[in-house]
Amino acid sequence: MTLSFFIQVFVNGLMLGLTYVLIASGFSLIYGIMRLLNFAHGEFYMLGAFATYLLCEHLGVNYFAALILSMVIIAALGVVVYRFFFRPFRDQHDPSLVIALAIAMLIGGLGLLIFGEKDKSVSPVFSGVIKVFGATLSQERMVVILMAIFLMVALTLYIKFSKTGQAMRAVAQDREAAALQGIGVDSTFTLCMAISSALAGAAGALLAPLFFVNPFLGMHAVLKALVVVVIGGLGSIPGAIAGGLLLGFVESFGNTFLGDITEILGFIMVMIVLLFRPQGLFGHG
Amino acid sequence: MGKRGLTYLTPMVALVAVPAFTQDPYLLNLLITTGIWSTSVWGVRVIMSTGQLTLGHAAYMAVGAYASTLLTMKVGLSFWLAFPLAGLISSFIALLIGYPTLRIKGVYFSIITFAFAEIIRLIIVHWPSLLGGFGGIANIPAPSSIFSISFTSRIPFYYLILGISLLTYLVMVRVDKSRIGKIFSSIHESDTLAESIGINIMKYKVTAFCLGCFFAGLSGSFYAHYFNFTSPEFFTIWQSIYCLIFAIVGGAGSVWGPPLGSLFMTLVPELLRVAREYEPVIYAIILILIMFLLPGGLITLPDRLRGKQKKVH
Repeated sequence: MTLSFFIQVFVNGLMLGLTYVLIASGFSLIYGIMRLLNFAHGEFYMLGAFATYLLCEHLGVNYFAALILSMVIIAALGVVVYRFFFRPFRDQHDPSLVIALAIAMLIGGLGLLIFGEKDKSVSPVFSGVIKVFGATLSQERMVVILMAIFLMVALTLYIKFSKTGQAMRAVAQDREAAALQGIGVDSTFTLCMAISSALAGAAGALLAPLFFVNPFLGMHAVLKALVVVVIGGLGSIPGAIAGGLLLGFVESFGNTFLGDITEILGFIMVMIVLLFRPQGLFGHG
Repeated sequence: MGKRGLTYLTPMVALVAVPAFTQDPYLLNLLITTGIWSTSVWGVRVIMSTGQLTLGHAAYMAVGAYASTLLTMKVGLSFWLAFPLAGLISSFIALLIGYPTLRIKGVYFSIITFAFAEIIRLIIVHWPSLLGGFGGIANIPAPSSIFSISFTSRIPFYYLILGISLLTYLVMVRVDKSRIGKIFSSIHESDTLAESIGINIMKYKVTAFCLGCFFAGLSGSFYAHYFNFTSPEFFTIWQSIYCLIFAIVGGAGSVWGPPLGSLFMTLVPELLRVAREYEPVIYAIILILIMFLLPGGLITLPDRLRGKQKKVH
């Protein structure tokens, strides 16, 4: 295996991993704070990609403006879904999971009816390539990698240092105690849904020029996110980052050396992690 | 026979008499499909009765379908032997999976059932030489003639699935009324409390899981031999989600919930005469309406109409 080939596979893995990180971080945030497996998260990602497609290809909006707009639109949608559908089932374990599944089916199904099953594509923003040790890396992918890293750093800093971020962590640790300290649980949840959905929207917008856009993206994405967050530790953002990168590298190297059968590895990792370390590689006991 | 006996007997007589009134293959096919779903969804309900949500029921239908396909086509067994074996094999796989995983509480069980279901589906996809791969396996034989009844039209299939459903129903009623059923619901109410009074909750959770997957296996086996075809496309995460929501729409609190949910969810898209693409949207809307307006499922509708607010867990 030559160095350039290795770098190629490595960068592919990094790229794929950051894709998973982008989608899984918002999903994990919701579970960590609201104790909800938000199956609709993948559909928000799908809608983010479609929003970018419509804005760029049909309305001629600048790509970066479309990225911001998609984040805002999807964040607003997330808040609406929370207010009308998730909040009534907030403290009920199983019903909240089922309502999230229902919303995912509804959005995915409507997406199929409205947009049709044909693949759409968003024209690339950057077209050049960079050569590193003989490996060819597209600029487009480098931009996505940098943006993903930027978003993750911003999210981590926000949760760690901002007042509202600290409120989120307080609610995640002990909802009643946080409420007694005067933290509005409901407004914290609303904010958490907005941030998580904005991240899904950003993921959709960032990945739209790289992959095809179609209404089936959502379910596929949320299942990947589920795998990632279980490996990393449900509810942990560092866990989602580590789990996403790990899955990205496993799949990239697996596809190169093992072929198609690689898609099974993620699920086997989930089973092994849940059997031996149910809190995930980076979760707390 | 009292009033209670009549309420149970009337639907039974009506179902037995259906082919005397109509032999329309389309209608019989709908009823057979309902029967296939019901058998599997009863399995979801018994697992739910211990407070576990499975997101991988389709995997056990797949195990049943492929086990009985291989047993009849490669081993040469008769359907009548392969069919119960398919249930037992599904149940055995559930035991292997359930034993280590059911100690993990809450949402993790749902995730692990889902992950395992995807593993099963991907094994089928990636093992074309034995399991037919993406294309599936065609020409699965229909059940061989028994008591000089040959399975050449839909009517014998109708009676067969009716018999299977009746058997499943009787088992479910028996479980509900027995000590085991009481223990299941005590675990559902509070597993810590159940454990504190000396109930081996692991044993009962595994029992419920194996029992539920047994019926998924039977349902899968019938499916394969009825359609003469099986493919991994039938056993995706969607199939598992449908099993779960059919149970919830019908009402997981009652033994009549699964067949009611299966019948309703099979009939609605047909009655609306819409294309298959609309199915997820329709199912999602029904599910959302049920969750907001009738959390106990359709089975609680008569009580609700009579104004009795029965509390359903």
